[in-house]
Amino acid sequence: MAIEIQTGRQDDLADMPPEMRAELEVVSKSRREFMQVTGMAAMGAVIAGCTAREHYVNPLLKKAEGITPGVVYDYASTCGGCASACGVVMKVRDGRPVKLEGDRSNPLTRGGLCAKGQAQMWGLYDADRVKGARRKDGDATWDELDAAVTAAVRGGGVWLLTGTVSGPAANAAIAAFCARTGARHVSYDACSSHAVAAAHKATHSAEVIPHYRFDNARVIVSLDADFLGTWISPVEFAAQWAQTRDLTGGRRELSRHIQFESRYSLTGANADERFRLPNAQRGALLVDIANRLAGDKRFGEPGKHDVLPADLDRIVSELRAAKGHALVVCGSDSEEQQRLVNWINHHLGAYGATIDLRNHSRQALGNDAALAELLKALEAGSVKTLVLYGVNPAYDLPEADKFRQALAKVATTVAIGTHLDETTSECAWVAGDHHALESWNDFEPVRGLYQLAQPGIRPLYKTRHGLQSLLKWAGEPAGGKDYREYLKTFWENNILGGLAWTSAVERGFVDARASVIHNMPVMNEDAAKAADLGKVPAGDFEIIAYESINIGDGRHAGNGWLQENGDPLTRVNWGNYVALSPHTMEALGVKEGDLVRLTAEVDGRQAALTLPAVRQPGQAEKVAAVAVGYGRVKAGKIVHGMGPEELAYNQAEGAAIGASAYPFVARGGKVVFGSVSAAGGKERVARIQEHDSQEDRPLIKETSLGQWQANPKSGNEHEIPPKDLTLWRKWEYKGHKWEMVVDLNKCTGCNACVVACSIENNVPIVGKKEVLNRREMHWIRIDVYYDDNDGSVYDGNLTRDENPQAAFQPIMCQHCENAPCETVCPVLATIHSEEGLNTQAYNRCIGTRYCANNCPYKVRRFNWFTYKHNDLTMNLALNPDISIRTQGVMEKCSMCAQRLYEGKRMAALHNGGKLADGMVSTACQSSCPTQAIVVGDGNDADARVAKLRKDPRNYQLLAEINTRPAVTYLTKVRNRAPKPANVTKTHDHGHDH
Amino acid sequence: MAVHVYSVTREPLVVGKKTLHEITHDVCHSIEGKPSMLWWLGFLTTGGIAAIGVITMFYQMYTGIGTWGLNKTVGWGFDITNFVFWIGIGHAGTLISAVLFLFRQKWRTSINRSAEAMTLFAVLCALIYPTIHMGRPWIGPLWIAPYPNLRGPLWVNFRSPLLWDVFAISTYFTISACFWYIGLVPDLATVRDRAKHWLRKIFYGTLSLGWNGSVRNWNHYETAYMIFAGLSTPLVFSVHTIVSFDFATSVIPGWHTTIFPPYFVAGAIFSGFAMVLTLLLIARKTMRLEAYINDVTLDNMAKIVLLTGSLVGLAYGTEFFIAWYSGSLYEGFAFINRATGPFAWSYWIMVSCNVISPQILWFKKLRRNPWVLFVMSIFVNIGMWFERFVIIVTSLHRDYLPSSWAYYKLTWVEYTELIGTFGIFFFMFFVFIRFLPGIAFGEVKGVNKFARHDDHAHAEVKHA
Repeated sequence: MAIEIQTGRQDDLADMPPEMRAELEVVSKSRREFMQVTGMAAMGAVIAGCTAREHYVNPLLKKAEGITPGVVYDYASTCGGCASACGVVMKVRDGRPVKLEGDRSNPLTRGGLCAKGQAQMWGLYDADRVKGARRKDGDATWDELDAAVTAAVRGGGVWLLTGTVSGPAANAAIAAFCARTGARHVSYDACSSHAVAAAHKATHSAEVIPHYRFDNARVIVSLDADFLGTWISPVEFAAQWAQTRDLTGGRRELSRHIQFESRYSLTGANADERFRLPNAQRGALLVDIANRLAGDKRFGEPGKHDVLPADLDRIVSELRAAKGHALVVCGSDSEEQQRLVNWINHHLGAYGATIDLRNHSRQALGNDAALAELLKALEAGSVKTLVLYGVNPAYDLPEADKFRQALAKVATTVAIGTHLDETTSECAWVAGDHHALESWNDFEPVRGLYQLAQPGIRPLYKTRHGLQSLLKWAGEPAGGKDYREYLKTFWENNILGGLAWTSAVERGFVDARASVIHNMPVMNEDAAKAADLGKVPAGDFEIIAYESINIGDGRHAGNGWLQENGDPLTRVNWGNYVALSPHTMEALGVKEGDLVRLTAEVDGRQAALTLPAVRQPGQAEKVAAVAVGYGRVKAGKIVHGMGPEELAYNQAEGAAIGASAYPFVARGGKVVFGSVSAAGGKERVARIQEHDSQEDRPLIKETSLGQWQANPKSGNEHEIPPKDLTLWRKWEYKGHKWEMVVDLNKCTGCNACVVACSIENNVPIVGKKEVLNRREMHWIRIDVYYDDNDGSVYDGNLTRDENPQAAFQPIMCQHCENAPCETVCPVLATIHSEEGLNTQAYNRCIGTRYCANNCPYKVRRFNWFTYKHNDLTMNLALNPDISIRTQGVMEKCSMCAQRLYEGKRMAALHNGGKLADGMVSTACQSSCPTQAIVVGDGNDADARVAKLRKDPRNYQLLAEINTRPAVTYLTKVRNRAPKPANVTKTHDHGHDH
Repeated sequence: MAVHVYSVTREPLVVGKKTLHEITHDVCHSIEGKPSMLWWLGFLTTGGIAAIGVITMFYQMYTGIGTWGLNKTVGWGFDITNFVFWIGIGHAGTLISAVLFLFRQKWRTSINRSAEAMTLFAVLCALIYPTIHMGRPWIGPLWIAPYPNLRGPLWVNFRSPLLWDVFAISTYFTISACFWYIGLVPDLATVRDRAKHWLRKIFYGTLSLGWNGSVRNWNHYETAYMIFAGLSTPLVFSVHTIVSFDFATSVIPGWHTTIFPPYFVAGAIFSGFAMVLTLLLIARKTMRLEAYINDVTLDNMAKIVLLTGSLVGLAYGTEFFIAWYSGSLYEGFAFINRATGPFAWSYWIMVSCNVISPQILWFKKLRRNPWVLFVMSIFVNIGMWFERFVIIVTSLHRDYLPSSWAYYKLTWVEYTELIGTFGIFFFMFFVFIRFLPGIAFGEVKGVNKFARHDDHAHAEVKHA
C-alpha cells in the first residue's frame, strides 16, 4: 500500500535537520520502506527522562539506551493548545509525537483532552511553519536578527505583548527580560475573561479568576458561560461536571444544571433546564435573581426579561436550598455583572465551597486594561520596540485594523511565533519559535499546581525557544543556552524543594496547592451595586461574537482536523456562519445558506461581515451569533482548499475560511446592537449532519431523575430481548470479548473523540467540497438531535424551534454480533473476529459498498478518492500502526484494534497474561473529558464494561434488528424541574416587549 | 408430424400471403445488400455514444467512485439502478423464446430472435455496472470468482447475495447465449447457402456448424431447442429473484421485503416486453417487417405488458399495505417517505409510467396502434428505470438513524455512463441486425398461413 507523498514543495524540507530530511526524501514508495526508514531514525534520544541526552539523531546501529524503534513511549507533558494548560501524555514513536492524550494522573483534567489540544500536532508538522529567523521580506540569520533586536530592546520604549503565560519559570524569564530592558509586559486573551478577575478585585480584593469547582456543586446556574465548551478551562470543568452527572456505581443523585443563554451553546445543550435570554436582558435577570435572594430591591429595579417569575422563583429557591453547594457562573465581559455574580455566589456560600479563590486559576491572565494602555501608546507613537510573543493581535483584536496601522509607527517590531500569520508577517523581524511539542516549558494552571511541558521531538527546523530569544536579547547569560537549562535551574531553586528534577519531568507536575478551600475573604457588597445594571439596553439586532469549540480564538484556524470537525450543535464545519433562530430567519426572509450581512457600530468603529445564515433552534429571537476565529487570511495552505486532488478548488489570494467576527467584540461586555439583513446570494454550508430530529424513534432513550430513582429501568422499559434464532452458527468468545458502553448522561457532545479517532486511525481530511457531498470520513461521530420538550424540561411554552432540548449520541461501528455488513460482502473483506470485533480487511476489499448500505448505523466510510496529505511533513503525523487506505476501499471504526492488541501484549509482558481492566483503551475513550466511554473485556466479570452492560440503563441501539451490538448505551437521565402546576400558554416570548 | 389445428377466426400470424422465398428474401435482404444510410447513421451515432460512455467509465474507474454523486449514506445509486434495469430488460428475450415456446405461442416466432439478441446485449450492459461500481474494479471481478488460490482460506462469501448474483447472471447469460445460437443455426445455413462472396461463405459457413437441413439435423435441433427452452425457463424466474435478494435479504427498510422475488420478476418481464416493443416497433418501421411483426404480435405483447404492469401495480399497493400492517416504525416511514419525501418526484414518475400508462391497453384499438404502443413502451421503460431508482435510493437515503439522512445528486459522469450504455446496447443491436438474420425465418415459415394446408410446402420450408 503506497503512501502518497505529493504536492509538498521540496523547500519545505530545506531547513530540516539533515537526518529528518533524508528520511523524508527516501520515503516515497512503499509503506514497508517507510517503516524501515522511520524505524532506523530512532530519534527518541532527544526525549528527556532518559539519562543520555544526545543532540544528534542516532542510526539504529547506535541505538539509544531504552529506546526501541516502533515502540510507543509515553511522556507526561502539558498541552500548549491554549492557556488552560491541561496535562497530557505525549505518545512518542520513533522520535516523533504521534498522538496526545489526556493525563489521567493530572489533578485537574483527570484524563481528558479537547479537540484543539489533540489537534495541535498539526501545527508541529505542517509545512507553513516559520523555519528559522526571518526579516519581513525574507530569511535572515539568527545573528542578524539577534544583533538588530538586541540593539532595539536596549533603546527603551519596549513593550512585550504575550498571551497568558502562567508558568513560573516562563514568567521569571519574561521578568528578567523586562528588568534588563525596561520593557512593559502586557498579556491579553483574544477571548477575554478579564471581567471576572476585575470584579473579584472590586468585591474580594483579589484580581484573580477563581478556580471553579463544579464537582462540589449541586445546583449550577450558568448565564452564558459555556463552561463545557470554551470558558476558561472546559476540559477540567467538563470532568468536574461529569462527576455530578454520574449514575453508575451506586450513585443516585445528579446536580441540577440551569442555563440562561442567548445562543445555543454546548453547555446549554447539556443543561437540565435551559432558558433563552438575549444578552441584553442578562443584567436585568441578574438583578432580579439577586433581589429575590436578598429579599429586597437593594440592587435596583430589574428591567423586563423573558424568564417567567414562577420559573425564577423556583430557581432561586433551588439555589437557596443548595446553599453551600450552589454555583452561579457568568460568561459576561461586563465587570459590573460579574460583581453582582460574585455577590450572588457569596450570598449562596459558594466561596470556599464551589469557588476556590486561594488556589485560583491562572488560565486567563489577560489584562484588558493593560492592553488598552498599549494600544494608546501605539497610537501615540511612544512604542519604540514591540515584541510580540505567540500572539496574533493583527487578527484577533477587535481593533485589529487600527493595530495594524499603528504597527507602522513602531520603529522595531519583533514577533516570536511558529507561523507566518497576520501579525508575524507584518513584523520587521520574526524569531521562529519552537512548536509547543518541541519545547520545554512550564505552566501553572491553578495556583500551586506546577506543570512541565517537555519536547516530544527534536526541533524540526532552525527555530529557537521564544523565551530563550527573550533572555538572549536581554543579555541574560541563560540566553546563550538551551531554555531547558534555565527552566531546570529555576525549578530546582524555586519549586522542586528537594524533589528530583527527573521525577518531576516524569510525572509532569508538582502539586503544591493548598489542600483545603477555606478562604472566605470579605465581600464588598457595595461594589456589587451599579446604577443601571438592571436596565435592558434597547437596539435592533443583538450581535454576539462567540468562541467556537473547534477553532477557538483562531490560532487553530489553519488546522485541518479542527476545520473538519463539526460544530456540536449545528454540525457545520469549514467556516463560520450567522446563526439565527428559525423565527428570526422567517422574519428576515432568509433561508439556510442565504448570505446575511451584519453591520454594527462597536466601540466607535464600524464592523461588518457577510456570511451564510444557519438555522439554530433554541437561539433567542433577534439575535445573530457568529463564531470568532474564522476569516484568517494567513492561516496556511488549507485556506486554499483541502481534499482529493480531483476536486481541488483554489481560492484566490487573500481568501479565508469564513469571516472574522472579532470586530464585533465590544470591550467591557457591552451588548452589540446592529442590523442584520439579507445580502443576496447564497453560499452552501457544509454540515456533517443535516437532519436534527429523532422522528420519534427510540434512539436516545431518556428519563428523568425522579423516574429513574423509582425505577432504574425507566426510559428503557421497552427493551427488546435479543432473539436467539439464527441461520448461522452462534459466535463463541472464548478469550476476550471487546465491548464498549457509552454513558449518554455524561457525553457532552464536545467532539474531542472525533479528532482523537482521526489522528489515531489516520482518517483523511476531505475538505469542504467533499463534506458538501456528504463524504466526510470520520469513524466516530456525535449525532445531535433536537426534540420537542415535553413541557417539563425547558420553558414549557416554547416549541421545538424556540427552545428544543438537545441530546447527543456518539456513533461508531457497533461491532454487531449479527453484523449485517458481514453477510453481504462477497469477498469476506469484513469478518467477525473471535474477540467480538467486526474487522475490515482493507487489502481484500473490492469496494462494492454493499456493507455500508446494509449498515443500519451508517458508520462505514468509503474512500471515494485517494486522499493525499497536503504537504510532505504532515506524513510524520501518521500513525504507523494503521495502514493508509487507498481509493475504492471501505473503512470504519475498528474499536482501535491496534490498541487492544497493544493492551494484550502489555498484559502478556507485564501482567502474566492477565488483562486487567483499564489496560486497554480506545482513542475516543482516552480523549473523553467526561469519561463517558468505557471499553473493556466483556468476558471479565470484574471489568467496568461488563458491569455497565448489566446496568438497567443499558440498551442496544436499534435492538429490534437483532444485530446484537458490542457497543451499548446508557440512558440519559435528566434532572428535570418539577412540573409547574399551571403552565400558561399565553406568555409572549417575542423580543420586543 | 404434429397435427395443426387452425382456427378460421384467428388472424394469421404472417400477413401478406408471403411465399417461402419471399420470407427468406425479406429477412436475408437486409444483411446481404449494402447497408442503408439510416443504418450507417444509427451505427455511427450509437457507436460514438458508446465510445464516450466507455471513456467516461475508464475516467471514473481511474479517478474513483467519488466522480459519482454517491455519499456515505447512499452507497448505491445510478450504478445498481442501471444494473437491475438492464437485467430486467434482459428478461423478455428468454421469456419469449423459452416460455412462450413451451406454451406453443406461435406468434413469438417473428420476434424471438431480436428479443433474445436484446437479452444478451442487455445482460452485457448490465454486467458493466457491477464491474465499474466496485471501488477497485481491477481486482474485484477476479476476487469475486471462487477460484483455488494460494492464500490459505481466502475464499468467497457464499452468504452474500452479490455472489449469488454472479452465479445467477453468468448462468443466465451462458444458457441464453447457447439457446440463441442454436436457434440461429438453420437460418445461418440459409444465409450461407445464399452467400456469393467467399468471405461470407466462410463466415456463415463456420457459424452454421455444417448444417445441411437433413431430418437428422432437424431432429437434433428440435430436441436441443426443447432442452434449452426447458433449461432457460426456470432461469427467467430465478435471475431476477436472485437479483431481488440483493435487497430482500438486507436490513434496510424498503429493501427488506419478502414480496421482492415475484415483484421483481413481474417487473422484469414488464420492462423487458416494453423494451422489445420499443425495438421492434423501430425495426418494423425501418426494416419494413410489418408483415411479420403485425397487429397480432403487437396485440399479444400489449396484453402481456398490461398483465405484468398490473402485477407490478399490485405489488406497489401490497408494499404499502404491509408497511402499514407490520406496524414497524421504520418500514412505515420508508414508504411514506417514498411517496412524500425528497424523492417523491421519482416515485410518482414511476407510478404514472408503470401503473397508469399501461391502462390504455384495455382497449383493443390502442393495443394495435403502433404509435400509441411506442409512446407507451417508452413510458414503461422510463417507469421501470425509476422503479429501481426508487427502491434503491429512497430506501437508502433515509434509513434508521436520521442523523445520516442525505440527498443524492447525480453528476455528469453518471448521466454520461447511462447514456453510454444505451449507446452500447443500440450499437450492438445495429451490428446484430446487419450481420445476423433479425427474424427467425426458419420458424416464421412454420407459422405462415400460406403453408398451413400444405405439408409438402412445410417440408420445403426446411430446405429453403
